[in-house]
Amino acid sequence: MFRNLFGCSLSAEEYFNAASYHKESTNDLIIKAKFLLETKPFEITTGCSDLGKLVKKRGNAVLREVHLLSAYMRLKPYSEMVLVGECNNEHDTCYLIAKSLARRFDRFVIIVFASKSFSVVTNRTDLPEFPKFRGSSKQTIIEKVRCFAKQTIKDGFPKEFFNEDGDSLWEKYYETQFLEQRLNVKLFRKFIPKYALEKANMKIEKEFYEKVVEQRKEKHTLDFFFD
Amino acid sequence: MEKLRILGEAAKYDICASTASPRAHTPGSIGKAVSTGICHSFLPDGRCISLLKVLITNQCIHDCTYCINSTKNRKQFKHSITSFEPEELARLTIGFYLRNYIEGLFLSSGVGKSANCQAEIIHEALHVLRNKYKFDGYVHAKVLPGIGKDELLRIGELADRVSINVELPNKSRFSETCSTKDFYSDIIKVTKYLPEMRKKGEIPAGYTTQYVIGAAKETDKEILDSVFDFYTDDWDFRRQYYSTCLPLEEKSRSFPRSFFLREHRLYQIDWLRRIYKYSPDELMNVVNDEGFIPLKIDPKVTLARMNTEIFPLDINCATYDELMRVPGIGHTSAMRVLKLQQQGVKLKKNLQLKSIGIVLKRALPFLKIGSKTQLTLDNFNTTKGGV
Repeated sequence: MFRNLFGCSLSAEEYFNAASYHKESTNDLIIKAKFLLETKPFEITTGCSDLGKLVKKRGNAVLREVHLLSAYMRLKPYSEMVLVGECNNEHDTCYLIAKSLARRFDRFVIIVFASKSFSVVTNRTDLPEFPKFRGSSKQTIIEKVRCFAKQTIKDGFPKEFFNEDGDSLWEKYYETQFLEQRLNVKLFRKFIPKYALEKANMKIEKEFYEKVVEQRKEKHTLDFFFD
Repeated sequence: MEKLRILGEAAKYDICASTASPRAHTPGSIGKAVSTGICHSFLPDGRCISLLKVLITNQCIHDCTYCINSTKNRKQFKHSITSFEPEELARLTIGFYLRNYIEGLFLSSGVGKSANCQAEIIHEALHVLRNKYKFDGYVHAKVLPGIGKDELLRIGELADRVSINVELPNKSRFSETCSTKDFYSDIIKVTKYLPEMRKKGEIPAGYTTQYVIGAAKETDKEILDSVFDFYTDDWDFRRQYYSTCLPLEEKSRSFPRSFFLREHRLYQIDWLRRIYKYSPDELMNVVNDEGFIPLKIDPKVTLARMNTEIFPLDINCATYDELMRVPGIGHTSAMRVLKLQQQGVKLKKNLQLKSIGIVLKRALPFLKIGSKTQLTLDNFNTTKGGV
């Protein structure tokens, strides 16, 4: 009960909106939750009833996913001002993640491929309305969006900015920054939870982390002796 | 790629935590420096690398004993010299930014021919990034020792934050580690330009500095004297960082984490000064006769043990300032307690304290809930821990 007194920085409507994207939220529950929102919104923010608590819990789960995946999801840039990301989301958050990224990269068209769907979003106001991008594969959809962007977006960056080896450069750079003496698995886990490492497709970080942890197992330090 | 490896590795000891700046976003540009949620990249050592941290060149004329790029160490470890072109750096920064790896750039450099000449190159790189490619993300630029005022002003116009590494707390310690730089003319003189720039509205995210711990025979007392001075209004540093001097040899790469405890204690004192608003005089009481902070006890616990007159504290009627002095209570939990007090809720159980984020193990000996003290105050009146 006490935790609920403080953890209400969001409004009941925000919790409700987020909860409606939860994978287990049925139409039935959404109707009931909407009624609760209109009659007793405080039950959602305080979580003092079973339904209010459920809405809040699900809202938090969805917001957490959007927060983590939009921060950690790696993107692939194309010279037509298109950024493509991929994630294995649990909830129906594909659109929310794409929207969050579009706010950050406001000159780009964002495509997010999630586990069950995909979204194409942009914050640009100078583009005509998107046609329905349909395709049997991810590559087809990307090609269609690139084609649309090429015809409609006039500004851009030199092609060198979108070179293919960006990821391998990052891999090299990431390794150079690591200080072996400071290895702190607990802290790493705190900042990048296992959930994000798995769902956000952080391949480079994940592989390096696993390699480093494996090496640590092989050579134990005498830490316990000094503590 | 080799260039990135060399210049990235040479910059890895520099520290910067912020990636946000109060500067307004320029429409049509790429990147945003506004304060947002979480950082985008972390290393397995727990350090945030949301800024692309690189040197523009690793060539340096100075002979600092702790630095891998110094004239002495470069010969010994046979490092090759290389440098980035402004265009290359812009390409890397924007490329990583678009891939959602980083949020900005942390640009440092060795002192190639002279500080002013190198500052000119840093300025050119930032100019290309900001004006040619319209990068509006966060930029932290390192100020080189001995740089002129005009060069510093030019860099300050383009960077969100600048930092100058003081490295050691005073002239005598400084000269133990470097014979080619002068503490006053190269470091302090340059540092004095910064408050003036800040007042003019440049460097919107402020300026910081960094100490290298254990490079000379400096004591914690000497470091703290310098730290507290830099936090006064005359200097107005935003943050100060502490970095343990690590051995440069490959073979010394693995050693106990307890090695970093001194650095950790310095950070704790730093936070007690900045966030908890302890006075420098109070904090200096923690330092022992040899001039070091005892490693075995949390400085906040030591300070609480010294202030016997205010403890044990009744949590249901304590003020914010009093709560902030209780070990195990920070800003967030203190605010929550106050909120409860305002709502007329009385805290009666340990479980309630735990649920609002108080660390019971540390806080209970100093708290009174109702009329009861929660733990026996063993050694409460003693000054244990070398204080």
